[in-house]
Amino acid sequence: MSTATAPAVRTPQPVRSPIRPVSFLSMLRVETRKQIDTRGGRSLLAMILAFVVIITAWYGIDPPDGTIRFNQFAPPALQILVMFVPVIAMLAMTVEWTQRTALTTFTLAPRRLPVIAAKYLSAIGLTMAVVAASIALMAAGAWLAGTVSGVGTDFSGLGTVVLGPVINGLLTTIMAASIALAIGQTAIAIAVYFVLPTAFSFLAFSLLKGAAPWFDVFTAFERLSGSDPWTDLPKTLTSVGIWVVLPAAIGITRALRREVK
Amino acid sequence: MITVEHLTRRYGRFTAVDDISFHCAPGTVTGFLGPNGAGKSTALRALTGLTPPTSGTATIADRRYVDLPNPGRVVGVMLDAAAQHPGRTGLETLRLSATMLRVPTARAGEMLERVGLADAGKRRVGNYSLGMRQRLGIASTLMGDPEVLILDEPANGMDPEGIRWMRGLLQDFAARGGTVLLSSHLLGEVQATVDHLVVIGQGRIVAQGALSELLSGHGTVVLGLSPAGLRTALESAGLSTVPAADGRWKVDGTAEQVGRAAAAAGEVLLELRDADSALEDLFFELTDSVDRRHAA
Repeated sequence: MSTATAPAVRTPQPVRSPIRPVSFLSMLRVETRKQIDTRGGRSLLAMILAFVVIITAWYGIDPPDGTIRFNQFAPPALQILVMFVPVIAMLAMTVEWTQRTALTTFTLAPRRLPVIAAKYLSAIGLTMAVVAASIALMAAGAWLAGTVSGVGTDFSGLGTVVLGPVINGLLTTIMAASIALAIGQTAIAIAVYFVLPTAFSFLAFSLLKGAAPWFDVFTAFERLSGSDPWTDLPKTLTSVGIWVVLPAAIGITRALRREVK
Repeated sequence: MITVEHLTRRYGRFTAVDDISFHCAPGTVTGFLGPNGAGKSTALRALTGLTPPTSGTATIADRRYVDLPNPGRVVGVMLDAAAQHPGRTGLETLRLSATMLRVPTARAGEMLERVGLADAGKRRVGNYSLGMRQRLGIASTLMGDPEVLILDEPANGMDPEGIRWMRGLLQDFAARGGTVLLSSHLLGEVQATVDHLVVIGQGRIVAQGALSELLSGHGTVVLGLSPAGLRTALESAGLSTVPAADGRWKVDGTAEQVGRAAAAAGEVLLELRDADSALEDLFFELTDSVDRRHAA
C-alpha cells in the first residue's frame, strides 16, 4: 500500500451513455488488445520480428550465389516462421486460464461461445498480421540488400512464394490454437504442439505402415497450401479432422463447461 | 437488488451450497459471512453465472446473471483481486473493461483516481501489493456505473486504513441507492461496514437478518459500586450472572430487569449496557452448531 493514498469518498461521475449489450466487436477488440498489452505478449512478438530481421540481414549481407533472389531466400525463412508463429495464438488461448483472468472475462461476458470465437479470430488475425509484417520486412531487406550491393533484387514468383506459407500458417495457427484450448496450460500445450503430431507421424509410419499418411497433418497442410490442394483429399480431411477439428471440439466444449475459479 | 431462492450446488455427493435463500435490498450493505469452505465463493459464482446451480435460482435486478445483456453495467463483480494479469498495467486493465462495457475509455483514469491508484496506473499489476489489487478490483467493479456490487473477500490483504476507506466507499454506494453484497470469513472486518448479515456454515444459511436484530437479546453488562452486593441483588431477582472484565457482570436479562433489581436492593450502578461483541459469539456459535449437527 506504499503508493496508494486514500482519497476522500467523492460521488463518482455517472456514465451518461445508455446501457448497450456487450457486442462481438467489443469482444474482438478486447481479445486482440489482450494479446499485445502485456509484457509477455509484446516480448513474443518482438522475438519473432527480431528473428526475421536477423535472418534477412544475414542473407542480405552474404547471399549464396551473389544475387538476391526473393524466391530463393524467403521460403526457408518463412517455413521456420510458420512453425513458430502459432505460439502467439496458443498463448491467447491459455493465458486466461493460467493467469485466472477468465474470472473477469466471463463475468463481463457470460456467454462464452462468442468470447471463444473472438479469441480464435483475434489470434488468427494477429498471427496473420505478424506473418504479413515478416514478409514485408524480408522483402524490404532483400530490396535494400540488392540496391546497396548494386546486384538488384529478383522478386519473380513473389505471389507463389508468399501464398503457400500464408495458407500453411493459417492452418497451423488454427491447429495450435485448438490444441491450446483443449489443454488449457501454456507449457504443456506448446510441448504437445511441437512434439505430438511429429512423433505420431513417426509412430504411425512404423506401426501403421501404409496408413501413416492418413495421420500426417503437416503433410496435409503442405498439400492444402500447395498448387493442387485437392490431391489426396480423404487423407487430408482425416488428418485435419484428427489434429484440428477434434482438439477444437474438445477445447470449445471444455471452455464452455469449465468452472471458472 | 439481489434475490437468491433455494440455490443448491452439488459436486458429486458433496453439497457445497445447500438450499440457500436470501434477498439484498437497494440501499443496504449485506455481509455474506462464514468460515473458509462454507460455500460462500461457490454461492457467489453461482450468482454471477460462472457456475451453473444444480437447482434454485439467483437473480440480479430481476434477471438471471447470464440473461443480462451487459452485466457489468448493472452489477460490479470482484471474485478474486489476485486474478489479474501481472504483465498488464492497472490503467490498461481498466481500459479493457471500458471497451467490453462500452463506456468511455477516459473512465479508466477517473476510476483509478477514485480508488487512490492514479499514480500507479502506468505500473504493471505484478508490482502491486494485494491491497492495491483489491483497490484495482474495486475500480473495475465501478467501471460500468452499476447499481449492484458483489465482492468476494474485498478486505483481504488491505491495511486498516484501506478497510476504513472501503467502508466509506461501500456505505456511500448504498446511501445512493446501490445494493452491496460482500463476503468475509472474518467478522471484525465487516461488522462496521454491513447493515445486514447472511451467515453460512457447511453450505447452509444458519442466520440472517439486520445486524442490530442479530446482535440483540444476548444479555446486558453491568458494573456496580459494590460488585459482590450487585451480584447478590441480581441473583435474588432470579437473573443469572457471569463475571466479565474489571468487576462487571454479564447478565442474562434486559437493562430494565437489571436496573429494577439493583434499585430494589439499593445498589448503585456505574455502567449498564447491552453486551457487545455478541456477533463474534454468534458467529462461532452458529457455525459450530452446524458442525455439531453434521457430526451427529
